[in-house]
Amino acid sequence: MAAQRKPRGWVAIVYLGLLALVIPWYWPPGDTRHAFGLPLWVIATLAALLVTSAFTAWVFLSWPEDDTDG
Amino acid sequence: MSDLLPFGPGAWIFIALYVASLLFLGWAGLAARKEDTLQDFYLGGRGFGFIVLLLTLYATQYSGNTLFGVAGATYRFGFGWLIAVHYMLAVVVFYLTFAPKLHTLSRARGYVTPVDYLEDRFHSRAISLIGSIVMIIALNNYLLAQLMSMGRALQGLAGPYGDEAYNYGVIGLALIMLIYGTLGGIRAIAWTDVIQGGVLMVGVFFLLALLFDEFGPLSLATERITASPEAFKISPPSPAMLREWVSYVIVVGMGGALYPHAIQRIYAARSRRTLTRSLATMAFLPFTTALIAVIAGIYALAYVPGLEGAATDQVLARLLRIIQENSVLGYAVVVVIFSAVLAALMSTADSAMLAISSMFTKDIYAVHVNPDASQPELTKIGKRCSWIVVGALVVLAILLKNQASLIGLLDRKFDLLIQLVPAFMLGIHLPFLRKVPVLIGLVAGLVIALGLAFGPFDFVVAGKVWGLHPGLYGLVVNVTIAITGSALRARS
Repeated sequence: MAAQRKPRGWVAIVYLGLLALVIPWYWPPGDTRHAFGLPLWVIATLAALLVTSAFTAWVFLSWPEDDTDG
Repeated sequence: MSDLLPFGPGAWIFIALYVASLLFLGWAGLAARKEDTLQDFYLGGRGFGFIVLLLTLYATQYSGNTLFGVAGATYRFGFGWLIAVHYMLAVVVFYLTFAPKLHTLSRARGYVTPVDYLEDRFHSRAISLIGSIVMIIALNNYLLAQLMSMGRALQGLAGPYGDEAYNYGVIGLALIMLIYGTLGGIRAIAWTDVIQGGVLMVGVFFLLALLFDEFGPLSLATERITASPEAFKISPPSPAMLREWVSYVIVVGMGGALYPHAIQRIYAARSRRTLTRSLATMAFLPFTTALIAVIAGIYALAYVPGLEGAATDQVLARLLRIIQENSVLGYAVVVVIFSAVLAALMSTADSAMLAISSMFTKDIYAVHVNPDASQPELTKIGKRCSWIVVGALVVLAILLKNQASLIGLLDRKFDLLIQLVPAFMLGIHLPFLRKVPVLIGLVAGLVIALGLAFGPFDFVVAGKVWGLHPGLYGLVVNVTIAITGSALRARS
């Protein structure tokens, strides 16, 4: 299975990219538009957080059982 | 006490049954004991399966801070406190850096406390002692926050009798926790965590449903805030708040992963597969608990305006009081939610209590005070330690009743804990890290973190420097010294 590899540097790069998406630095200040009670910037942040959760779960689940080096 | 809380006999019977089940599990943990050793008392024979491990990790990580502190902080800062969802996820992400390997090492080398790893890795009594002290101080801070949350839970519900209810809450819940925790050790605590984690998971969804039912959809709350002087709390965070966001994610993420009681659960997992499956599931739980606490804070901002300071940490309890006064169904569900809140508080507090007693007993008493002590004697010392520590913190929690906000307490312990990052998260992977540079880095990091936090500096605003936690500045220096110092020593 391709996923049976030890996490490497690219995992950290993916996390940095996700961090840049989660934190709403790119959103215009003072924007109070909202949908379903949630500001749009909150929806964008939650979506990026959900992707981060799914990626984290995938990394854990693909961790090789016989990995002696951690 | 029934005059203090607006609960009838049915509610008190439900809560009494819940508390009785915890005490029963304390006794069952005692009966299931296989040997009178520290390993059995503090790690439960290293046999935690997927469900027990997941729920004990969940119940331990999601605490009084999560529910009361996050709802309170959202009330103060608005949607920007989504930071809490992010930092709870960051804790799980940082486990990736060391938990699977630490689990393997712990089984091979027989670790019981986090400091056992430090001793095994660096063979330095100074690193082990400082590591013990840092972790014990951080845990005492954490336990104090939980005890204060227990008081706040009752204070907010009790209305005019709040001060008396706070004292009863702190003393009563601490006593129950001490009884089952010292009877059955980690087994009792993990089994109670299964109940407490289950009640918490169900309770937060009930909370969300009740908020919608009582106050209407979230869109109404948001529009109400938009039309109020608090409208800025809907907007994207300011640059200063964004810096705090980054700081919280790193500091709480790393510090939360290094909680001693969390590390002991890594040791107690039945297998590495069990551990990674549990942590993979944990990656989704910030959406069930921290996010719902944020939404509760938004409802409170819309419908219970005007609170300031420490009173903002009671907003969740205030909401519950409004809900239960307005409908019979609401009353019944609030009792379940109240039990979930107690569950969150007690499950975190009992784990912190047990971790403190294990580290004091094994890492300090057995090394520096009485190296010849037998295992049963050490177990007895550990139990006495729990009673003394919790007793002292109960007094402190009552004295500090109206002083500190929960988030303020949360900040300082992570400033300390993250100074152990080089030793754990780097030391486990980088064989070239040497004990002397790691020790100097640790001391330098602690001095900088504490010096900035408590020193008389004008540039330190609300406990932060340019929006970043003091511990983060300490960590940068700490890591630099540990890595460059080790590299230089390796070359020479």
